[in-house]
Amino acid sequence: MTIGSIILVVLLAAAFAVFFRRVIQIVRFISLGQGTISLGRLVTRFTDLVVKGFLQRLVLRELSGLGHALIFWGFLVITYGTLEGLIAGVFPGFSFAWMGPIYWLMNTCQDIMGFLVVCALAVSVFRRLVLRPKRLEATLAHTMDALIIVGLILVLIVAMYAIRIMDPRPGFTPVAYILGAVLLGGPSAGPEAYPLALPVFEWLHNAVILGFLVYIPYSKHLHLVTALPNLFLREDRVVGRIEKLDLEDEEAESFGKTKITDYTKKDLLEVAACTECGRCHEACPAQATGKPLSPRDVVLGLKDHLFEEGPALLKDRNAEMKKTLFGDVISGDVLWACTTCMACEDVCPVEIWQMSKLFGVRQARVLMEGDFPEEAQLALRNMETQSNPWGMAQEARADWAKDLGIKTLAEDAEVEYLWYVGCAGSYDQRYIEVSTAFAKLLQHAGVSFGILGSEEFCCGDSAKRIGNEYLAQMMVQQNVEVMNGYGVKKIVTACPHGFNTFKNEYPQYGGDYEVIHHAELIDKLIREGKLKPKGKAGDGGITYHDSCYLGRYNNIFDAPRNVLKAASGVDAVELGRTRNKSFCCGAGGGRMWMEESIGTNIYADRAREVIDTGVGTVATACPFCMTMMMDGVKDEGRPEVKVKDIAEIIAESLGLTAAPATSEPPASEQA
Amino acid sequence: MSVLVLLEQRGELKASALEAATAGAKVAKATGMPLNAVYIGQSLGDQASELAGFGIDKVYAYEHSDLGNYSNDAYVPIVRDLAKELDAKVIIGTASALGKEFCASVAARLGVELVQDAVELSWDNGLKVKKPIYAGKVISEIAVTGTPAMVSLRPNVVPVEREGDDAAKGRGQPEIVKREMPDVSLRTVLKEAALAAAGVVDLTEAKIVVSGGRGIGGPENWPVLQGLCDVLGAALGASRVAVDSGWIEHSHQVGQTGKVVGPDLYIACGISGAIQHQAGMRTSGTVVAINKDPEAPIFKICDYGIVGDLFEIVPLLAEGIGKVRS
Amino acid sequence: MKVAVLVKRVPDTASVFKVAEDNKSIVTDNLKYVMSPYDEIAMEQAIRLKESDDAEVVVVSLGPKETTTVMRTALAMGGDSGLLVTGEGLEALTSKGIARALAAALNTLSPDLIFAGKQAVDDDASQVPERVAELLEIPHASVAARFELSGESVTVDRVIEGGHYTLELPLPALITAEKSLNEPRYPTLPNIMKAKKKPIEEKTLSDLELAPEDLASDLVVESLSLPRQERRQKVLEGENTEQIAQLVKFLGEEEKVL
Repeated sequence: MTIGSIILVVLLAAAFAVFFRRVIQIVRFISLGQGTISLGRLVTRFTDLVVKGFLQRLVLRELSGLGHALIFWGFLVITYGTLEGLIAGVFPGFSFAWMGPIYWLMNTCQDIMGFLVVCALAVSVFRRLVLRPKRLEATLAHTMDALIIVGLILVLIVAMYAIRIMDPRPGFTPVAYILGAVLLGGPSAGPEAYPLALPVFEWLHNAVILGFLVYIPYSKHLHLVTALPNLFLREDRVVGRIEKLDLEDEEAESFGKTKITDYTKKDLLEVAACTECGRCHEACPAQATGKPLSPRDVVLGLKDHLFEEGPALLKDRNAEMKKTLFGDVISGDVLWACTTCMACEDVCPVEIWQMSKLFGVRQARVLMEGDFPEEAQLALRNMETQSNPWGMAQEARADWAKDLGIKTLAEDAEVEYLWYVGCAGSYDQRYIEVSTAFAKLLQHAGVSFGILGSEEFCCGDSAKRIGNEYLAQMMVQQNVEVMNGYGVKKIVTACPHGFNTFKNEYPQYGGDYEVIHHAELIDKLIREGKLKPKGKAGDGGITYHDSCYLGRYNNIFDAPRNVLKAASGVDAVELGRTRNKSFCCGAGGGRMWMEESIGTNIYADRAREVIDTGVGTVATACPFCMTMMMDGVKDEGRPEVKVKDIAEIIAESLGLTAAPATSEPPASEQA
Repeated sequence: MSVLVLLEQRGELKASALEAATAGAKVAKATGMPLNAVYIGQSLGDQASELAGFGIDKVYAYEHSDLGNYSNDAYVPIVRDLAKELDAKVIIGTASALGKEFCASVAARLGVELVQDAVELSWDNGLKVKKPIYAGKVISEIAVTGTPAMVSLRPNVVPVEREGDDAAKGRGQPEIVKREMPDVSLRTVLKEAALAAAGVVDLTEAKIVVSGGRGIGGPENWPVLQGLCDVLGAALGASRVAVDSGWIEHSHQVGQTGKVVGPDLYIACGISGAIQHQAGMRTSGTVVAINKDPEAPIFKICDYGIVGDLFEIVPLLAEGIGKVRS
Repeated sequence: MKVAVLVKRVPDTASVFKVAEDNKSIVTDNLKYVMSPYDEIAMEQAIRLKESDDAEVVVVSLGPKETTTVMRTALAMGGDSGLLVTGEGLEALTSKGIARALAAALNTLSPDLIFAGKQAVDDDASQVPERVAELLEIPHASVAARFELSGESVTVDRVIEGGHYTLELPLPALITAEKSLNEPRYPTLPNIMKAKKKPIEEKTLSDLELAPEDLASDLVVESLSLPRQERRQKVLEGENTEQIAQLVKFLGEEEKVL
């Protein structure tokens, strides 16, 4: 050991001390959260860690992710050399050469990866400073943070090459060779030939590492520490389910998230894992239309809030906080702009659940303070009294069906499917046309089905998404009681919101049914030959708008497309933002019942995209989407663009405009 | 025995006072009882001639500068005492905002039944009254068995009818009996009597609403609807589209996310009538729709519909109504 | 100060109404019940006084036991306790008798201020609050669109056709609410839970020392009928001027709205 060694050891110790001290502090902040972090399903967890983490599968879902993957893998590879350099700094003369062929391989990789990393860094700086895509839009502080990291990595790699030029390592190292040729005019004269330069770069290399150690836990690169654990510790969940709150719990101080410590430990780990990649920022329809909501900023806001309040909270859990969760960290405009489309959660490369964090605050505001956009109050009251948001008489719920020969379960419960018609399907003039079309399809295909009629209650989705868990539970329980009373086993519904809640949330309330969306059923009937569309529908072309609750939430993309292809003979035109990248219509999250007063309208954005395809018809599979699209095409001055449900398109292509059949399958149609 | 009519005034005798007199005259004829009326106000003056032709025996006029504006403490004892004095068997008032409070207070003081907001009244061995209940969804026919039987009559449902033609005015005038304002201590003090700005009717409780939607096309076109509002004394409403487009303030919005209104008459101009709008006006008594698009959902929820250009139709409608009303 | 609020449990008017076989009552089987909307506004005003002036708010009602569900909603808005007149002999009461019973109940409370809705949306009788005030011999003002408490008196803007009167009334007084007075709050979950435990006192007519003879009614519902339930959906035809003439005729003569 030399003086240099001792100094390095001391500096290393200091750097590690700073690093660990901070990391431990952050771990302690995270443990301020509720609950425990579970560790079951280890095999899945390890697989996820490898595939999503090390193999960067989620990052690589987008082309720009290649840059990060290269930098990440490059960094891993370079760490080998870094380690070698550090140990050599303490014990001069040390090297990994004894690893033989592995050493050769690693040096090769480092040489090539180093170059690729520099390329990736150059592209990333170009994107951030010149191209300026939406997702890299950030405050000066965050941009500087990113650039500092870029700088540090660059210096590290420069130092690495400098060292390898002067002190070559065994391996296939073309980059070092070329650089050496250019800078030294030829191969290295051996490490002893550079008594000043070599140590300087070796120290520089180590210094950068020390700098990293100290900088990482205080920058967005904290994700180096937190992202992989976050992927590993991912909780199992049913996508589309908002967990039932136990409102009977007398011990509960509050419901929903009123303060940062109401979040679970896993929640807090997630906010610490944010890489600031901005993909959610870019994907959010509210953000795209000028609302102050950015899922990324919500997460970072929570992280900053946690770190700021953390020290005081660690001393006294009930210490008064400097800032309020709702108000200071998350404003009302941010909170209520969310349509719960889940584009943010779908796109996050480190599996942070941004929407659920925001949603918890919504539940707290509504349940604890009765605070929510005033215009939604009418919808909630109506749901409570007459079981539909428009306040139409529940008794009149089946009036739309009276001349169609449809039986209620009260008249005959021995049917295969309960067709849950839903509020829109029962009361909205426009959507009654869809219900009528679907009824005709079912009868034509000889499907055994019945409806609940005036015994049908609103599914509870809107109440739940507004955050009113209390009202939602009441409504769900009413439905479950009626459905279980009739021994319902299968439910088909045309509304993705109803579909999602029956399938993913009702089981938590004792309602366990096989739930299928009308797109799936129609698809099935076509494949079974019970519906034979002639393939001539949709002149002028059809495009399909994926509903968030059907597509992104429940992965139903193909069934409606199959249906449209059968109806028109050709594949529907794909919108630019399609399938799980579909752009929300703006009505989810209870926003159907609220005003959109900031920025531009979400539905208008989507309508423009649809109109730009030049098609004559946009097909939807959701009453909310249909309403929004209809308004959208009218607003854009293109009312001739038709908005139709897929059931209507099939019914039209089958010429089903004749008088209705009865619910019994006609003998001639039985397969 | 007597039938007693409470004459509503606001500066001048209101049309509803004459409607009450018409109703009173019918009851008086059917029962053979004399018909009397009471006026409480600043000064009956030459309006007394308006009261000719109903067969009113006497009009008891309590005139005083302090009685110009309705005052519960002052008006109620007057009628209570007069009703007793005349042995009134039937008392008919007006179901206006003030009239209802007035009648309820008098009924309480006399300890008798009162049917408010009657749309029809007759005599058939006793007073029979029809009134709407459950937001007008049900009509109740009531027989008042006690006396005096009190009823307040909804304005604008009984057409004013006098004996003989207009030339008869001047003949058959009632005797005006002037009375002094009794000595009462006024607990409630009237600090200000404010009249709303002319032509601006509040949307929430308006009896008639005229609304404009996408068909309006721009903020400069509201005067077309305002003309109809002025003729009808209606409030101006708007659909979400009109508000969203910035053509009018949110306070005029009718619908799921705006105001819920239940006027007797709702005229929707250039409004498609999608369910979000319906939710705000569904309980209206009579719905008229004017829209260029014959397929618009509004035609399914209207009582009367005109397929046409609102810019042509509305002015004609305003003209037509103006003629009828005058 | 003590504030009492009169509330009534009524069917939601969005329900479908059918006349029972006796022709004198409505079928109640599938009706949904709510607090009469104007009463909610009255309740909200009382709660605001509780928040600004630390008033005690008592919810007062009359009706069958089921009325307590509506009273619990009022308590969840922030009321402190309830008083329900219930038991035998209530169905036969008209406004006259109801007012007597409520006045007797209110006498046991001695409130400084009483709020009520301007009319209950079931029978639209529009008279019980005024009768109560007269029986209690306190000043009253109805259809208030604005309310202000100042010391021992209240100031209200009382709506009249074409404007309003600004009135000042000494306490104790009774005020009835109309739509533009305020926007009722949505009860929070903690308050809904707390409301379940708040006390609702029940008194019968005999507790209030009222004999049925005191409350006898002098009117009888002879029959109920349903005006048209469906929209006419009558799209007019002909030249514009013809259609206008038809429309004006229908509005004037059939609908009587002009």
